[in-house]
Amino acid sequence: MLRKFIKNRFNQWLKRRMPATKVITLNSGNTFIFPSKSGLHFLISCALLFLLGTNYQNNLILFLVFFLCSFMITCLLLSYQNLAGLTLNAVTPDAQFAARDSLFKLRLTEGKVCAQDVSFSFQHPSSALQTVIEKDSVALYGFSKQRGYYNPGRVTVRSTFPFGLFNVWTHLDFGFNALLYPHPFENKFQVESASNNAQENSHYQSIVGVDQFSTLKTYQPGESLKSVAWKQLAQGRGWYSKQFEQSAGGDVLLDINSLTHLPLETRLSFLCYQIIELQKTHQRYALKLNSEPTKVGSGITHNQQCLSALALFALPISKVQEPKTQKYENQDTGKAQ
Amino acid sequence: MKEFLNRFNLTLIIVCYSAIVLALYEQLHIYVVLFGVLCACWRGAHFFGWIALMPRFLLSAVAIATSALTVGLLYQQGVFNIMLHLIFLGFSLKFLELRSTRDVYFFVNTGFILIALFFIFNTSIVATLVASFLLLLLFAILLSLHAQRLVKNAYLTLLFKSCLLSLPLAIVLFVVMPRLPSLWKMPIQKQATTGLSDTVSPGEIAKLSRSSALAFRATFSDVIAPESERYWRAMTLDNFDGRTWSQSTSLKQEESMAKRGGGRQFYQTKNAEQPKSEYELIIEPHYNYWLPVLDYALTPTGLVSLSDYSLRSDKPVIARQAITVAQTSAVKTQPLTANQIRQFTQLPERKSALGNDRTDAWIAENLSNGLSKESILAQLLNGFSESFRYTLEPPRLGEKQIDDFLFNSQAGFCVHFASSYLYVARRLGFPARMVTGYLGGEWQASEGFFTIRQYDAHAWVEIWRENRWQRVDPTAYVAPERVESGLQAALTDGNEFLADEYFSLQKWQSVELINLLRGRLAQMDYLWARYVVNFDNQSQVKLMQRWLSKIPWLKLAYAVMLVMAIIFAALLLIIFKPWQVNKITIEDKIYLQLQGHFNKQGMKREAGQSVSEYCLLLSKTFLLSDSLCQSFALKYNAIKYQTRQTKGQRKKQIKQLIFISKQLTKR
Repeated sequence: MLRKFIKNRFNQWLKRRMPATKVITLNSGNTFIFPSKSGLHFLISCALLFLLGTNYQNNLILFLVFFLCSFMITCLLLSYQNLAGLTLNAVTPDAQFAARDSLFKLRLTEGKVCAQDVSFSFQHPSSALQTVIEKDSVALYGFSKQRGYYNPGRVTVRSTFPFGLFNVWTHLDFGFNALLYPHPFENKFQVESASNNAQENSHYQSIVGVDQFSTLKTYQPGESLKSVAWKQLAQGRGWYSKQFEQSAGGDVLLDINSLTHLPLETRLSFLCYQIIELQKTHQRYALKLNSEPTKVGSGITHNQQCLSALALFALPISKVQEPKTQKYENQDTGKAQ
Repeated sequence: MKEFLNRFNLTLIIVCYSAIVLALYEQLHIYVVLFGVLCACWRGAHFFGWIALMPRFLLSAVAIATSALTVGLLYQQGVFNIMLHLIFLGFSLKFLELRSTRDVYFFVNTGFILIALFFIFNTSIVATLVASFLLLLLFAILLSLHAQRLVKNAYLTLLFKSCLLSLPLAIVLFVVMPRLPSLWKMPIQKQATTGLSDTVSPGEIAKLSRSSALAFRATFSDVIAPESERYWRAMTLDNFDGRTWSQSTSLKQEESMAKRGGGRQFYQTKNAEQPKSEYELIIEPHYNYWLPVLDYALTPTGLVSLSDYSLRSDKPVIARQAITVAQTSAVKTQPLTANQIRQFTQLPERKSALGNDRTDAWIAENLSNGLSKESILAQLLNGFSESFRYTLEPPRLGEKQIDDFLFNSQAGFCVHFASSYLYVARRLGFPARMVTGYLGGEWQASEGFFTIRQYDAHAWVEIWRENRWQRVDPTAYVAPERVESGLQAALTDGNEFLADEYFSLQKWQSVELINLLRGRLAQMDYLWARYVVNFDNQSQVKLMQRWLSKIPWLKLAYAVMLVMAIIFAALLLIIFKPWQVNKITIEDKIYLQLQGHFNKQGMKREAGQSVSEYCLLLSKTFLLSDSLCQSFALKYNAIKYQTRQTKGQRKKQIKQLIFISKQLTKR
């Protein structure tokens, strides 16, 4: 109870003291140094030795005690020096599906000395995956089942270098916000053809069953040999591949309201799966979440747009907006006035 | 925290453990040492993958068995020894079961305590060096847990750097921290006494002559006692049972009473004469009460004198001890009482099994020939110088020791000569006693002190004539070199000297270099003992006053704080090297220039803003080309973070960055 209270107060204090930023250089203002558990053991043995030395009136034991104490102070400075000047640069995380481990990356720039034996983790670890530390970057993993913007919380940087007597640590807020798409559920949900739904959008419609040739593109190694324009090749005009407007299926409209008997999250997951599948088969599709459907389209950008729309659909405002961007915009308007 | 240990950790731990076992070898019971060696072997075999670690239950069983055995074995040797052995056992068992880093911390901390215990037994400079090495090993273990990525050189540099940096503050603390008195009485180790014992039979001093161990050191403040006067008195023996000389019960009583603060202390106030000179003794621990002094010592504070002019400490000398003794040339004496005369002429019964009939007959014959008692003694001494031989390896004497020595073997060392001279003197009615102690010492010219070693042990005679005790040294008649220039000179056969100590540096005195080395070592050790080991409250205050008198306005407390602050500041400077400015790379320089340019126009870069964010803001605020701003951020990031870029690529990219920056700041 008390512990929780203290923890809360501490976190609030941290928020005030170290607000979220993308780039952080570690210095005396944002790191904490406390004796580690082994440091406390060390101090206890020092006290024991002091008693021993005093009671036996043995100067050499006393010198040993003084030396160990002095050594502790040197360790304090060395352990701080190890982390001081280390610059951490947060990389904007990529979008990920919910209930999968999302990757958060930090770039490291060393200060005067090479930081040794540093461990990175989230303050509240959520993923089972271990942090991967490379020479100049760190990959942390977070895990959440909630779609929308996901903030994995503060990153704990910790080191007990060089002798393990002191624990240098800090909880840094990089304002990480990874967009989590809904978790895709595999389903046999019958996709509706856009034509069935709305006849007036006939210009999106195409003939079902016949692949329509549209253009020729320069052949890229790795493309299917079936798509090679053999005729053009035979004519000696070089390698081309035939591009077909349509694969089987035709334009698809994905409507959130078509499965009203299921809960919203399940429906979103279904749609998410459909979008992935459609993307795989290069089909054109439109997404209808509100009254107006999106444009029919295909391709990565369209895919991402649709998935983001799914991710943020019907979420409270605070979750939809990236707190970080909000803050910067405020600053800008402040400056403009 | 790492939960397993790598091979480097384990190697260090095994080496460190073995070194500590070796260092404590002398203090530990032989079985416990064997157990330690066994532990090291087990661990070593495990290291090479031959056997597994000991299972938990077996380890617990071993722990219980060994502790019980240790307590049983050492039950009689006192609490201290049991404590030492139990700590060592804990250390060994932890060593056996080491698995994770947590165990290692426990191991290292116990190691510190063992080093401290090692210091209780050994305080010489060599011991200190050994302990420093052990300490360094322990630190190396700690470092090895945390510095996985460091290469060997960096590892060693860091280790030595942190130790060296800690030294100045430790020294200041050592000098200025006031010493507390003992908080409570600690058990002391019961140890066999070394050096002289309180009984002497022929053979004991010969044993001592084989040891080159240091007995004590002496420094004279002004006048150095002449060679013939360097008889260091330890105790007197006045009881003879035919074989052994020992202290009579009355002497023992007097000693115990004196130690309790009562008893008869000789003269003290009776003599008005100023002390002749002073000398300082640094006595090696011998676990006994006696303190060697020249004739005649005034009683220093905290010690007691006895009526036989010897000095005693009220507790055994268990650690190196420094005392200053004032010397006086003459003492007032009182005539002996009848009791004393009886004690000092006591001899075993005539005609008993141990009676020396031939000697008695020889005395009687001389007396009947009309010789005076004095001349009989003189004749005996003459005989010594004419036909007797000084040797440390005399033939074994029969039951009637004096007879056998005087008329058969005629070869022996100080105790033989003193013993037979005493016998004859007492038979003639002179009150006489045997004095044991040390004779001479080796002069350390460079430092100006004497080292007196165990082989300087000696026995001589005091005889009551003209109302005072007069010293007679019968050995001087057979081997005057023994008195003048030490034991080695007195022995005609060089092999007898330190016959058992093949490795002793004393044995090789003829080699110049070793001699030099030995002198240096002795000198360092002396300085160490004098200024470090015996640095007590008194010398602390003296030292402080001497320093502070030079700077009169400085108060003691402030001075201490000032020195500590200075050292701490120096430590900060050395570690962080603030004068070393971070080298700014070219891309950062360009970036900073850009910032400076726009700073003048009123847009500051916020703390923690990344390049891309900054550039985005830039294009918004100043309506600059969006793509130009973005490409600046991209280029900057590429130069800074892109891996595997060649020098040429880098140069090209920097050129491009400069170009973009120029474009941006053109307006």
